[in-house]
This record gives sequence, C-alpha cells and structure tokens, in this order.
Amino acid sequence: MKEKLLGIYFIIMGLMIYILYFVGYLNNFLASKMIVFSLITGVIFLISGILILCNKIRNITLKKDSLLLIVPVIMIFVAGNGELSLELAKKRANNLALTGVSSTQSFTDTESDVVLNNNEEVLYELNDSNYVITLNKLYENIDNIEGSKIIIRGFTIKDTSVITAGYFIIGKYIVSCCVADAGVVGILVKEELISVNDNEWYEIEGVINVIEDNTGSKTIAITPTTIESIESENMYVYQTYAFLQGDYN
Amino acid sequence: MTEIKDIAIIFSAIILEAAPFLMLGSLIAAIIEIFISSDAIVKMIPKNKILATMAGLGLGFLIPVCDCAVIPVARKLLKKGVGINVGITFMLASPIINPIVLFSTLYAFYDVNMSVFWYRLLGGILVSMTVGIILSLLYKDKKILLDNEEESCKCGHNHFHSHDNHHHEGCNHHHGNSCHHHEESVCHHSNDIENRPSKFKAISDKIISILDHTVREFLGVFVFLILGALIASIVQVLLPQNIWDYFSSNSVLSITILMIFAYLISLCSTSDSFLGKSLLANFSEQSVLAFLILGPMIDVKNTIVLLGSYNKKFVISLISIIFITVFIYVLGGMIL
Repeated sequence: MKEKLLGIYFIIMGLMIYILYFVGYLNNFLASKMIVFSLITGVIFLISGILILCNKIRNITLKKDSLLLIVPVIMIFVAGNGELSLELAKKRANNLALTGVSSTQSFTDTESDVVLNNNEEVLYELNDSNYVITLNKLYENIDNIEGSKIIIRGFTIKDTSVITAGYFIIGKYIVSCCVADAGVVGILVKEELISVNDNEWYEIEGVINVIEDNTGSKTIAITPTTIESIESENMYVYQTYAFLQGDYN
Repeated sequence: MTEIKDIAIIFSAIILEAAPFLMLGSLIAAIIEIFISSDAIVKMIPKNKILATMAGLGLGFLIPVCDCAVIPVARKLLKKGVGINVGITFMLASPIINPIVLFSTLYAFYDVNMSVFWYRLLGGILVSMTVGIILSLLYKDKKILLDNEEESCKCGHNHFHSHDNHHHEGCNHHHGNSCHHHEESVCHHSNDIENRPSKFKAISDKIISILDHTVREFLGVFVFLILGALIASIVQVLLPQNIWDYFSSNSVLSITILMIFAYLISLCSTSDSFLGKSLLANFSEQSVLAFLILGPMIDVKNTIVLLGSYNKKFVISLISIIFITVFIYVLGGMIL
C-alpha cells in the first residue's frame, strides 16, 4: 500500500511540473534555460510512478521521514503563481547588493561600443527580452551614454541604504537559475516630477545622466520626463549569456 | 503572510531546480551500481594517495554535476570501496571545477576581475584535495557511511545485479537483471536459461533495473534535500535587512561573514558567480572568493542531505575542516 502511495506521489509530482509549465508559472520559478531539465524530470517522475504502480519497481522502504515528501506538494500550492513579494526585493537589494546598480555586467563587445557613441538621439526602450542586455550595455559604456533617452518599466525600491539620497530604483528581479538566486537589476531615478510610492509599478521615460553613487563610484541615473503608474507585469528577467546570442542590441 | 508565500516560492524553486540534477546524480550512481563492480573501480584508482586524490579531482572535472547531484555519486563511489580522499575530493571539487561552473564563473568575472576566476579554480582544487586527505587520515579504517536500508534489495540475497560473474545462492544460473523480480526465496529471473528472454525484453529489464536503482538513490537523498531547502528558504526570507553592513568594512570579519552567508543561503554553484560579482561592490575580493569556494562545497541544504548518508561525527568534521581550510586559503592569499 505504501508503495502504491509512493507511485501516486511520483505521478502527482510529474503532473505538477507539467501543470506549472502549461499555465505559464514554471517560468516564475526557474530561468528558461532550466525548464527543459525540469520537464525531463517530470517525465521520469511519471514513468517511475507508473512502474511503481505496476509493481515493476517494488520493495522500496518508506520510513517516517518519508512524510517530508508531502512538503513540496503543499509548498507548490502555497507558492501559487510564483511571484515574490516586492518587500523581499528591498531586502534583496540591501543584502545581496543591486546587480545592475552597483556593478557592471558581462563581456564587453566592440560592436556595442560602436553603437554607443554619445548620440543624444539614441533611445533605449527596455522590454523583457532586452532588459538585462541593454542595462549591461549602458553600465559598460557609462562614459558614452550621457544625454541618451530611455524608457523603462519596473517596480520601485525606495528608502534603502544602498540608494543615493534623492533617488529611487526602478527595476526587476533578475534570475540566473531559479528565484532562490534572484537579485534586483535596475537603474537609479531622480526623485522629481511626482513622488512615487515604494513597491509599485511605473513606466518612466527620461534622460540618462552619470552621477556618483553613495560609494563614490560612477553610475547612471535617469532624470525623468514622464512617470506613469502601470499595472504590475512580469517581475522577472533572466541572466543571459549575451555574447553567445550574437545579437547584442 | 507574504513571508510564507515567499518561503514557499523559494522552497519550490530550489526543489524544482535541484530535482533534475539530483535525478541525474542518482542515475549516474545507479549506472555505477549496476555496471561497474567494486573491484573495477578500486583497480582504476592509483595506489599512491596523492595520485588517488588527483584522480578524484579528475572525476570532479569529468562528471559535470552540481552540489546536489554529486552527493549520491560520491556516496556510491565510497560504497564501492574508493578511498575517503578520492570520494571527498571528488564531492567537494566537482561543483567548482566542472566545465559548466567554470564557464559561468568566467562569464560573470571576465570583464570585472579575472583573478576571482583563477583563484576560485585554484581554491577549489587545493581546498578539496586538502580536506580529502585530512579526512582520509582522520577516518582511516573508520566507518563513515550510514547503513541505508533504502539502498538494499529485499530479495534475500546479499548483493545486487547485473555483473557478469556471480551467482545467487540457491539459483544455479547467471542473471543480468535487477533482483527485484524475486518473491521470497523463489527466483523468477527473466533470463532463466530455460526461458531466455528476447533482446527487447532484456533491454527493457535493464532500463527498469536502472530506473529502480535511480528511484532508490533519489528517494534516499530527496527527503533530506526537502528539509535542507526548507531551512534555506526560511533563512533567505527572514534574514534581516542590512545585516551585512556592519561587517563589510573589516576584511577578516567579512571573510567569515560571507562564508556563513554562503552556507546559509544554499545557492546552486552554477548561479552563485553572479551574486558573488554583485557582492564585490561591498565586500573585498578575498571575502567574495571565500563565498564562491565554500558555498558549492557545503551549505545548509547539503548538510542535511549529508546527514542522511554519513555519520554525524564525520559530517561535523567535514564542515569544520572545509571552513578552516577555505579561511586559511583566502587569508593566505590576502597576506601574500
């Protein structure tokens, strides 16, 4: 009987992975590159469950600690759509530093240097597919981008010790493998025009300036021209291996 | 309430991320169990301790598994009779020096600080070899693995499977399948001489045998992974804000703090480079190096998993020696 329960458990785990995938939530737990591994595991769970139910795999001893197996099933239900709270983003920004704000990213690329040649007419419009790569490019070319225009959407982080006084951050969670390693990637915005709220979603259009952050290093900041409150959207962007993608823009 | 949901999300993410690699590790362990005899493994390992330890290192480079997947593989190697120095060096080195992790570290630090990449690689090699050799001296001829019933077949025979040259007691035939087709003491091997199976049947039996062992290995570690992931996710969410600010200015203290941090947050070794890179903004290179070397070798999640396979005293020794060796390596580098 216990073995049959184990077989059913394996089938439930396999099905849960596929349900998360088909409703689009698996992307909120894992980076895209990890999803294929998860789907393969789902198949192995399903096959193993069926083999256990068919008595092809048997004599598996279940001990008291096997009760822990139920925890992932409960937790996946509690996790719901897999969207972390924005309160946690502030904590992450403090404890894990800010990926985009406090350090430069990725490989330099001569092609991108050519593109960024102090052209004030350049407009950087960030979306989910180019969010990380564009921010990387901006931080890498910090000396050449002053005066460029930018449009960015994301959630706000205010009132933390890592932010220069008079500024707030607009950004998103950046995920490398799974949300357990999520940090915050974003950009400083000068607090003017209107007073924005903490942990809310905005679209900001503005001009890029180079300033000194509170550690004395050069960083980029937006002087906003328009700030618009928007509905919450996908809060995750993913770490990409830009130089493998060929197209850096 | 938001904290509970955040804990559930992080926990689920760790499980969803780790399960495939744990499955892969269990599969490798199952293949070792079924296809490679203890004698063959022991013969492959050099007799000289240093060379043997280096063989463990080589295995760590060749088998690209992360810190979750490496535990069942290392346990299987130790069960098959390889020395502690080989098994432990393999277990500690693999999550740092395997090609996937090397690539992600190179990618993260290429344009920021390449020395972090090289010192992480060197640290991974030196620390894992040192810990492996020290533990092999401390635990020479001592039993370090727990008896795990889950791994034992209940067929009444005191061995497993499909090696070429053995007989079951009471059965006068060779067999090529798992032993889980026995009922009581009656043998129902599908490749009985009188009833030789078709090629297809033999292959499917072999696959089922591999899956059978994979499931056993997987279950033996998965319950501990669940407990470890639960602790890690609670720590991640409930860690107070600004906790590290007070320590980042003192370089020796910051090394210790980032080692503890790496231990507590239990990140996958393929993703910790990116976090390590962002930590460079507030912490010294040496502290970040300590974070990047210690994290893949040992963390809360893996401690719980190890406690399911190794005796408690050994696990405590392992953790203590890793902490001390990483600290000395990083501090030594700072002084030099």
